[in-house]
Amino acid sequence: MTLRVDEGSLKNGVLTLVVTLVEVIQEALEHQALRRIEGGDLTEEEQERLGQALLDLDDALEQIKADHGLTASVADLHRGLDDVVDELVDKLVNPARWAEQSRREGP
Amino acid sequence: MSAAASPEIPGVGTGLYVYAVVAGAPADLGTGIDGAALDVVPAAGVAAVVHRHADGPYQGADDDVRRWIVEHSDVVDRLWQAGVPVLPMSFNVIVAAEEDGDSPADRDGDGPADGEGALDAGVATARRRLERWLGAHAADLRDRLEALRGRVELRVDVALDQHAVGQRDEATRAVRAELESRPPGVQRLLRRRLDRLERDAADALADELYPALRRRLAQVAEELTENRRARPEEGHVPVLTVSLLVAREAMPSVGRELAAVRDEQPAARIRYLGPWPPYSFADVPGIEAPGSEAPGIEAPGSEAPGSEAPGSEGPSNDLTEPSGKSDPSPRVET
Repeated sequence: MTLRVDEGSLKNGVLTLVVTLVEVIQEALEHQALRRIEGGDLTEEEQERLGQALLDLDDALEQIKADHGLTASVADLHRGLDDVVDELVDKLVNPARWAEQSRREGP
Repeated sequence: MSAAASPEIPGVGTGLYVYAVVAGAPADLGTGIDGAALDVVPAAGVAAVVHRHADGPYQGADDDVRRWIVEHSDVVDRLWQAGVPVLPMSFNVIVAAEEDGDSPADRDGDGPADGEGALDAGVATARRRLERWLGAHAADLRDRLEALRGRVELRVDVALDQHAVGQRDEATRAVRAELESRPPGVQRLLRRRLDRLERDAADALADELYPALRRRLAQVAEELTENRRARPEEGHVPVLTVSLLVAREAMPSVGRELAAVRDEQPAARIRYLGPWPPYSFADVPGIEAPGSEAPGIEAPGSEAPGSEAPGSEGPSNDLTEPSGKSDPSPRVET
């Protein structure tokens, strides 16, 4: 099978990947921010600045997705990544089941 | 995945695509995948419903695969609707022709058969192979078919609405109250925190509910098997996803049990689907798919999409009847 790449879909593919990764990084940031808040490390003003920055990022990402028609493809990729991570975590948490599965599937 | 096709060997690439093993087939079988004519291969009191299949396993674009799976499941469904006990096969179980040169075409001494002749010869060897398999396992197959007579498969999927769980959780309520009074940026962060608290509370409740719920469902079913967890809806935390094997007459007792669960646990969101042919209960212990010990038999296709049923239903309010007559896909192992 020949691999045909048309420029438009390549651009959209790369953009989808970038936007999705930014979303993932944003989630990691949120996670950290919440830990800081729960730990009492952030002043009220710092919390608001951080939250506002995340809100701005939300807006920017939504705008990019809407402009390029990427909303569905980003959601798909994001879900796909979540599944990969879930599976990985599951394997780490349940090594026994993992071993059983790889035995069943063979080398 | 080897399609086992080498063109110079006559008969290779021909074989029988198997839909199901049945205990007696109705006269009118209808058609199978892509309109293929269906045939019955009887042996030792059981029979396989097949079509003559000239190529390797079905593979292609997701939409095509989905259509093939639905057509496969239509055949199984028709048999089952006709009241025939049925052991559905997974999608893409194909009994290939034998390659040992022992085909009638070779013995005729006319050299390599070609065209229709090769196809017929291939089908004939595949048929013998399938008959041998049916014969060897006839007793087990008959037992299993008898156990499935008059039985249906029901799918029960119980999840918790995390918002509903959160309403009753102290820490969650406190964050929700705090949220109102804060500036937008902080609200953005607190909403995420709220989501996590709700999810944790729902997770804890799900763990707590699971053992008793599984026990209750096991009591109203003859057999119970856990399904691979489907992707839960946004805001829902899964408790359990099971398939139940029940006698058709016993379906109301499952509905009553689920209605009771819903009444006891307002946050529970229950999907109750079926009745379907017993796809999840077709495995016969100790028996592999026909001919899988020999080369040339394709295992269930790994290209197939996930085994989730198309046309998922929303949580049903009336649990006395399962909702959705949509077929489950035949079991596809990925």
